[in-house]
Amino acid sequence: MEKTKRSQKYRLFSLNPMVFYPFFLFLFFVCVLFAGALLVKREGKTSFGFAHLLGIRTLKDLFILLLVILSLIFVLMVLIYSLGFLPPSPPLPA
Amino acid sequence: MTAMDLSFLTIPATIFMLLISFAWLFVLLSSLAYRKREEEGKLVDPPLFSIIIPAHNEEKVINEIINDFLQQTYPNLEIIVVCHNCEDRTFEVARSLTDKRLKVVELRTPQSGKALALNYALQHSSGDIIVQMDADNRVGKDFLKKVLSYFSHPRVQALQVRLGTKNADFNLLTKCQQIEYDLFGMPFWEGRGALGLSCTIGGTGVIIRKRILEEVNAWENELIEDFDLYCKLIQKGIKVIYAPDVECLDEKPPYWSALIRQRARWIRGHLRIINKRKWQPFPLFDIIYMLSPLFYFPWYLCAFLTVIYFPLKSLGINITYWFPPVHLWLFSLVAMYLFFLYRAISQGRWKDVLYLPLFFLFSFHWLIAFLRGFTIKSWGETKTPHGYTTG
Repeated sequence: MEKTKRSQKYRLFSLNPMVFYPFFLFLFFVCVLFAGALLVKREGKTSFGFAHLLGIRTLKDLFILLLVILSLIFVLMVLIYSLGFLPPSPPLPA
Repeated sequence: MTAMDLSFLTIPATIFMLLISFAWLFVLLSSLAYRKREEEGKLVDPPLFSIIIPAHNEEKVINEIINDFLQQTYPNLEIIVVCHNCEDRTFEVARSLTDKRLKVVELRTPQSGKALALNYALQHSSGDIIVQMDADNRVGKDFLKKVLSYFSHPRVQALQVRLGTKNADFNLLTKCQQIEYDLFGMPFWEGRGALGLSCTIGGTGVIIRKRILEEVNAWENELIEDFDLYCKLIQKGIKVIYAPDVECLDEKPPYWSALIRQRARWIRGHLRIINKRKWQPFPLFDIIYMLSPLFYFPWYLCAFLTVIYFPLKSLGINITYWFPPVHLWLFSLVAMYLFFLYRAISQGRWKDVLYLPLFFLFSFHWLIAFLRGFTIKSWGETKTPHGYTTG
């Protein structure tokens, strides 16, 4: 009952772990990318824009970057799954 | 429902992946025992160095490397620039520099390939020692003087200098490549040195006696002609020495598409050379090194099985498979990152520690490059554009 209430209050926790983990990892690595870009900008003292700092010049570059993140998420999901960190789905809200 | 056990595919694939992971880890950890050998000998006559620079559309950078060599503290040198199938002003820009030690030649061929330009330059060279450089490189004024200290010993036949990054501050992609070279690539060469193995050749910053190059028929027009030359050298019993104190700065691709193109060429080139030399004998560590691009195959197998699992299930076929040692792979991965951490801290490069999570993300580009590798046909289509520096 308590769990169901919590799931209703925080919708993120009511997500299926197979959705929650990739979503969480995606957000985490996007943050890592932005933090990295800021660090390079600071260190290199450049006035380049964010896309440039992320190595993106064309849509193809953006597509490759997304593919790299997805590959990483896939490998991490295999690890999470095989190490037994994937809990059963929480009960759906009533 | 029919059950199909595919473990006969997944078990060998994962064991192979683990073998490569642990071999890399072993070589990296061996670098901790690396000590630079003092190769001092006596010189009878100061040798003539032939610096050969193949250039394909390099008008933005060609003069920098020529000037670096013209300003060397060791003056006994000649520079041969081969402008190969250039569509820009590389030839005119290189010719604008006047020095009797500089030869700029033009080469037009129907085929593309760095090896064609390198062999052409070799024919035009008259030095005893060949210095192979790329047009985007930079070197310090005492580069040749340091190289000479190695070649003063007659036992030294071939040398690979340390490869640094010229444009590390350009963006996070070039920064990650700097970290990759400094924390993985260079320790890898040191580790091989500590194990008494020959250093592999990095495509630039390679110095080799002309006599040796002629004995092995120099470069062949491969996608990665450097690795092919390395194979020929070790089959002749010639050891390449790593020179950690001589540095050549190299420009790294600054955009994802250029990076993937370059690395896909490396992977495809590797696979071609495996196929070409599959029946030839090589030392164990070289076989592992040659097979390293196949490291990514188990992940594709895993992805493929995941994708086909549900459609097959709906057809009444239940597939089962076992990836036995994923935990061990995780162990080797963690150990490798601890090594990077140690290396960065021991060299006083604290900032690099902050980039390690980013580097972890970056390292997964190899999975994309592996697939892209199968579409690469010629050297020309993968040429990395240069001139992207902040300075």
